[in-house]
Amino acid sequence: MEKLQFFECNKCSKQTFPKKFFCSNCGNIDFDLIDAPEGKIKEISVIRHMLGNKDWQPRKIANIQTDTGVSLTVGIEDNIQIGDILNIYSKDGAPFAKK
Amino acid sequence: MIFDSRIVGIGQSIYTRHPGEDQTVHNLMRDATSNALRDANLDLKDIDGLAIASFSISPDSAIDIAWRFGLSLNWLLQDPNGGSSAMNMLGHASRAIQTGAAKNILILAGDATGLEGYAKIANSYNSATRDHLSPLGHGGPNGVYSLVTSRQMKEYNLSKSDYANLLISQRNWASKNPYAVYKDTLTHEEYNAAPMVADPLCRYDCVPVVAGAYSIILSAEDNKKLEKQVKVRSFFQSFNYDNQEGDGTRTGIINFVDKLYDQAKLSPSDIDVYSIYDDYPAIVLAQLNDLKVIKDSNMKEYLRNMNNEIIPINTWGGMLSAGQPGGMAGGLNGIGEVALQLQDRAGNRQLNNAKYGIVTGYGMTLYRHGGTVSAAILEGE
Ligand SMILES: [Zn+2]
Repeated sequence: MEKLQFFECNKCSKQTFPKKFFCSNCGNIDFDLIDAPEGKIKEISVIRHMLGNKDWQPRKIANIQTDTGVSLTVGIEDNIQIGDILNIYSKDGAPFAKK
Repeated sequence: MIFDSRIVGIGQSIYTRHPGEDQTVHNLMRDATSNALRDANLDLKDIDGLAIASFSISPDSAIDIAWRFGLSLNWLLQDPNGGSSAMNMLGHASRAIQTGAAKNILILAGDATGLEGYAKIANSYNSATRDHLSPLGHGGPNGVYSLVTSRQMKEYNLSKSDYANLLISQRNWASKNPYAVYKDTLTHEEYNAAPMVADPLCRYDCVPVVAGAYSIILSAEDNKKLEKQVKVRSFFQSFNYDNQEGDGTRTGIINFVDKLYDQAKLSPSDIDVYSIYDDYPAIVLAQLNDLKVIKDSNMKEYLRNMNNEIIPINTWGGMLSAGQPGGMAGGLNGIGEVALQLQDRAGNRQLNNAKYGIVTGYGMTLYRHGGTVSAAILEGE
């Protein structure tokens, strides 16, 4: 899998995800695409039920936070725990975190 | 601005988990409209403004409803802001009446998406959800607010079972609401044993989707049949207050809470009844906390005390027990309920001496939590 791409303001270096059209810090419109840095798992949920889907198998999602101040929601494998430091990848644009 | 418009009519349709063939969104909206007109003592020809919110009237728009309902209007609004749309419509309609743009405005919301339709809406709610959340199997808003709830539990030292009293209180109220889809009382044991949907949210923490419609009529003149008129004393909103960079445990209410009370010349202790938008229990608590209702932000103690008192919050049962007809009519139901309480018309749910009420709307889950919130103080006099 490829690393997830963050958007980094090329004026003030504030990072964001998903894509923004103005930097919320300085108003700049130009961003560099960068590989997402590592993040720390903060909260985990198990999605046990999916509306309209009878054959749903439970799966986990998590809130992950990078040192650069970006929080995002990621898919994770079952063995991941709160506090784990993970790399953030892209599965067709959807963030997925792995060791 | 202090608004002079009055809530002169309230009407709703049946709420049902399993709509029959003729319980379409248009039919349900027709029923809510008929009931509101009768309540307001007005005819269709008296209505000169229409505000409407619905996920499921598509491909129709507000003007189609005007045509099919036989309404000829000076003023028209369609609001797509989910859980905040009812409050948004109340604000716009109040200002329209204040400025003379319309005299009698029908505010109407309803949905009959069915569960599959709702799932579709939930998974493509906006492009961020469609592109970055749905592919994870995040379970729609349940997944989003499971993570917000976990953060609230951590920050306010709450355990899962602490939330039970809020759900039990609302279910007690729902047992007195003939329109509620769940009227059976709820015990701590049942709450604690309920199957998880998205940890830590169990079945009772997630709103039951229903088909239904709700309507209120706002007017420049009193409804002479009513002993008490209900007016909007204070109204404020916040949109995208934190760029989704906060943790969702606070709401945009913190941007206006002091102005909200100041404009009405009231303080939090003056409020007698609340309709707090209740898509999830954690969001009810977050709003109450931001409204300065929870002493010292001690949510644990606040929830514990709910065991001993009648808590005048969501006295119709809220969406969590009565049902969520989209987020839109659910929000409108909260406004209508406070108006009924302030007019002494809430039947066996009636509180004693209710003069001031707060209503809120919360919604539009952008990515990590809701981006819109509105609150108003209503007065009955
Ligand atoms: Zn910048």
